[in-house]
Amino acid sequence: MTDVVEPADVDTRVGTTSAAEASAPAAATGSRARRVPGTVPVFLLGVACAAAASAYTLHAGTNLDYGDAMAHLTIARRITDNQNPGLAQLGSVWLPLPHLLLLPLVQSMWLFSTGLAGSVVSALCLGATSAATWRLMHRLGLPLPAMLAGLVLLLANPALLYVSSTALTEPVLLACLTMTIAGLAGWAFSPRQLSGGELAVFAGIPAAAGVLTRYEAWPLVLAGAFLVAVVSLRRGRGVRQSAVWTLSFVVPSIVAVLWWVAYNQIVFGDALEFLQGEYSASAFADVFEREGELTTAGNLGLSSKVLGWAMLETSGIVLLVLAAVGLVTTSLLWRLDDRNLVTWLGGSTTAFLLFSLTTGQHIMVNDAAMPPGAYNNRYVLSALPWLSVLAAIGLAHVGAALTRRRTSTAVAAGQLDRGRPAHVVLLGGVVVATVLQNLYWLGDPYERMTVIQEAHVQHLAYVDTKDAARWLREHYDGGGILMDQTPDKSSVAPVLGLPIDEFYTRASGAVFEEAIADPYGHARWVFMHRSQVEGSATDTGLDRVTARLALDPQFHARYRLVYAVEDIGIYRIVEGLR
Amino acid sequence: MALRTKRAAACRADARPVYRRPACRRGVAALLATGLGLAALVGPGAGSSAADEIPVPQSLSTGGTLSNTIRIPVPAGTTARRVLATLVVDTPEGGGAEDGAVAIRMGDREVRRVSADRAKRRMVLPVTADLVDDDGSVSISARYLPGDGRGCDSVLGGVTVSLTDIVLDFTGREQRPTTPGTFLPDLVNTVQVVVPDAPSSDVVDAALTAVAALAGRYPAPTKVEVVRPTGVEDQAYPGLRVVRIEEGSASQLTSVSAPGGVPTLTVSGSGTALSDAARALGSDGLKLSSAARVTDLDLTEPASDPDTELTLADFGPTTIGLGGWGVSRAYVGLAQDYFGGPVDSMTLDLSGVHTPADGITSHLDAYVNDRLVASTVLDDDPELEMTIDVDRASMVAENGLELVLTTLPPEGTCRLADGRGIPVTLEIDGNASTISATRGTGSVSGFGMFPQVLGHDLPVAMRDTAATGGVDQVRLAGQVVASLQRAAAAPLDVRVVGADELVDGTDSGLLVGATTGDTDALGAPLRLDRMRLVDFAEQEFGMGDGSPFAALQTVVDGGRAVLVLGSWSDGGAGATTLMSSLGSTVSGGWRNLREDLLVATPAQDTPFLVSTDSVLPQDAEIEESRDFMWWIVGGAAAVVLLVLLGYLVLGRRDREIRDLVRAQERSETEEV
Repeated sequence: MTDVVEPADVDTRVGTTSAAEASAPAAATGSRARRVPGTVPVFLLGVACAAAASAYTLHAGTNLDYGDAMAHLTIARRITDNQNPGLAQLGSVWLPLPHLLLLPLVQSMWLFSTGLAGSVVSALCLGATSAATWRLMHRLGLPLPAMLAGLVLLLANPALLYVSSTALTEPVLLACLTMTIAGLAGWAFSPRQLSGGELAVFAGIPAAAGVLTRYEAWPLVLAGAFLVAVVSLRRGRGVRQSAVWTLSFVVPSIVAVLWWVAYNQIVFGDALEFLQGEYSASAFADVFEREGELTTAGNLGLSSKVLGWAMLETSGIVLLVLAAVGLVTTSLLWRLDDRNLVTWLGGSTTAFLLFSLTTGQHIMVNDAAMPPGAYNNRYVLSALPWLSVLAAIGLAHVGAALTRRRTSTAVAAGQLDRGRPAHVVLLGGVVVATVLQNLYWLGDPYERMTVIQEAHVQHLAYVDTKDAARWLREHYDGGGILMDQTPDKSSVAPVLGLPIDEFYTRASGAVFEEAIADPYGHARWVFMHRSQVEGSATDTGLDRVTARLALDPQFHARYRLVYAVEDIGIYRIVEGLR
Repeated sequence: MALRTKRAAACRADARPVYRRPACRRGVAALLATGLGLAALVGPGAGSSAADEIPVPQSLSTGGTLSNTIRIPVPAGTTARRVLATLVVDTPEGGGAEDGAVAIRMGDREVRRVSADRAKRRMVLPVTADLVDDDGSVSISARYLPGDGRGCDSVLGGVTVSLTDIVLDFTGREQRPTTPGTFLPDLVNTVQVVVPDAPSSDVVDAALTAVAALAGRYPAPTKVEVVRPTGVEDQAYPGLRVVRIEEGSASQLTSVSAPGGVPTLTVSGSGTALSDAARALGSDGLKLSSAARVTDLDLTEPASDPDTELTLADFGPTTIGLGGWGVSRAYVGLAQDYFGGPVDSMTLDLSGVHTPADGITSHLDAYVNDRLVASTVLDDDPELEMTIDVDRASMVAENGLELVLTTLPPEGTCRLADGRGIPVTLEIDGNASTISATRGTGSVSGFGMFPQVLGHDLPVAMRDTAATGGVDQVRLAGQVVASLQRAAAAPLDVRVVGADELVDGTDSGLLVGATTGDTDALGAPLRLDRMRLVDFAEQEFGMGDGSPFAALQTVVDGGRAVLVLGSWSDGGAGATTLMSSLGSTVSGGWRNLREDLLVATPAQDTPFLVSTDSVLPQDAEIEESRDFMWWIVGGAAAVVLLVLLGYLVLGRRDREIRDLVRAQERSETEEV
């Protein structure tokens, strides 16, 4: 990359001022090749950071604290290890890609039961996120110190590191998001006109992967399509060419969506099962609304407050302030040019979360919510790369302003100085501020970091069930286990550490109903709640085994309670009566 | 005496293990029951023996082989016949002791000795003339005497003997007081403070001041209440007193016997002098007045000194004595209110002396709020120094220090007949022992913040002081004031203020008859509006959406705490009567209130305590959050403005520079 702007690099095409301004920075960045120096080392750094976090959480026993993390591992393993194996085990509650990524790794019982299968996937995803963010910052023409600052702000985040040690789906989403945006940036700022196929490969496919990961990626596809259309029109390519490029970008996502809809139709008989089924997010939201707890619905102010608090406790005040600086400088200096449009793509998921909260499609609970609590705050992790990039841009602009030696041409081209001492000093300041912030967080993580707080809350909630699961793992002697793993706090298959085909669960299909009707002929062991689950978010949260057997005197005559903790009981059949 | 009364007051609040403090829970419950039933027992015109009985607020409790004594004053002009009491023998295992006996003494002789094997029995102790002391009181004490058979086991077992639910049975007509000095005896059943139907603020101020003064003077179960003229007792019964507050030209106290023989004291005056006169009702100096009519009585309490450095003696005991074989215990209440404000940690430096151990195994353990915090083995060095730190997590509103001395003779037997060795005797010097505290609310919240958060200053506001239908807010305020005073360590300076003044101000205080607007203005956790509880609480208390309710809650608004009492019903009427049941519950003792919300609904016979966390967000709260959206709107607008500014200012410069570059290029091209 060069620092000096040649007159030929300044786009002097006759046209709208905005078009000239928009294109000029792209040519002026000097990045003329797809290869971006530092991509591989940054990828490895991201993987290493996640690996270190995984080592810690594995040692501390906290990588399986989130119930959803255990559920994702279980869904992946059930595809092959089940009395009713098949892709139908992907279900409709969550989008399928994270489970498909886990599939090869969970074939190892050790990787499955320790949760390390998820750690491996998430670590690779964090590496990809880091590399993609790095490439994006490079495409935006940021100086090296600013890029390093952005990387520090991203990889030093404890919440992100924790989640990247688990089997949660947020790391996969972040990887898809950042790879999509980096791909779009590469297309938008390439001095060479890229083909529609290249656009589809480098941006469309990551977007499609995001579409099959979490619903927050769906608005990114729309925003990306808008970007492609605007950029291509600005280049004077005409409506037809713009449409071709736009379609090149969105077609993979459309295919993905159609596949998902088709899957729901084939497996569940309802193409919109994922939207309105009994296990869907909207079903859960309905329960919260019925109980008067979905207070963000229809209230933009409260939704903003809750989302803002989640971002504060997840991203941190340092990142938010620096990102605000970047927002100001980009608005002033970059205005509506391509660089700003690309940067703003990262905010599409946050905008979607705010929209989703306000329309009551999902719930998020933290100290700012009414009533307060800790639930679903990790969703805001999707904003981290965007905020990190904004912060890096802000630092670059501030550093440039502090630097005395700039040519007027460079100013006209909006070029950012590189390698100046001011940037280095600012980088040092970012490192110090990040360390101090992390020390503050780690002083009381259960109160100051909502993602960690929620993990801890779930850790405590699962204590009894996990104790029972470990006991069963140690004492199981074959013969099958009847257990409904769907109720709240019951999805503990990794902790059970037993082949899933030993279990009769809802995922087992029709044989589950048979086993409930005739446990004596199916299962030597029964794991159930001794009294029915109360306070379930939905009716699907009731323990069907409990409903059938808890008050059955025949059952209690033919099975012996061999372990009990709180309201959980493990029963073993009385031999000779089977 | 100070130790025992303070102990009784402190024990009243907290539910402690029975074997440690058996007097507290049962005593309070029994006394409350006695108090609540008092109107039936001693109602006007009741000529039965119940009319010749008066409950005694004190109780006694003793651990190990120590004795404890209380004095029961006999109403002037009457003859004591019997003392009725419940004897409770408690052990860590529950139930009575395996052997041994309980000796009860009255005056200077033992009047009864019973086996200690029964956990509880009702005792009837005849009182003869020789048992009455010269000051007209009857002293009573109890002591456990371990049996010879079990040795130290029975003593070490921590047998505790208590006398609770004490009632004095007497004959004769109580001598009618004729002077202010004799108007308020040591033992009183009920004091009614009468306010007119449409009182002025001066009269209300004076009435509530009188309630506070009388509640501080007479512990529960003596009833101190505000009544309207139609609610005054018209027939005398033992221990009944009536105080009338009237506006007059000068402050004076007049002792008058009303028709029916009900002793009535009229306090009249104007302005602050009326309240000053009412405050004198709590002063012992009132006894010095022998005139039938006293004028210009002016008692202005000095401002309490909110010190964070006190001695143990400031909490009651000038000396704490422990000794004897086995286990002996002493308890001291350490209410935060003694420090004139909330504190969140304390350091106790206990200083004392003890007899040499001389081969005897003896150790002193200190418990704070039932947690062992310090322990020391006593040796031949007579000096005793013990430092105890009570941290934030351990602090409650009414803390308790219990000292337990355990002493074993060399051979391990505690049989007194053996006469082996001399047990250790220990004394803690209350004046030399200090307690230092640090200001802060700590983890104490809700009702537990009171009364210490007031700093002995209690502004009271009422929306309606007239005796309108539904509820008497002045009476309600009086019930809360009395309850707070009995939980306080010093007299409360009660003053009536305007409701809007309290709501908009910065002082902690009490608001009675709050409206929906008041709770909105205060940002109360429970707005007086449609309310729902979380599902499990809703099922437990039978409260659905739209149910009318009355509530007493603690509102923390900035740095102050306000008690808010109000009601709500759909349609705006019909829930005010529920507020009366809140007052009755509060009268049962402030330390019985847990959490931060007391709610009365038609579905529940008695009000229930619940946390405001169990209240689902109400519409008013949610609506207030709606304003936050302007931050989003403002932020988006700011970004748009910045972009426009960029175009206007920087864009113009960029175009000029670009034009310059183009001109340069053209000139270069032309040169070529």
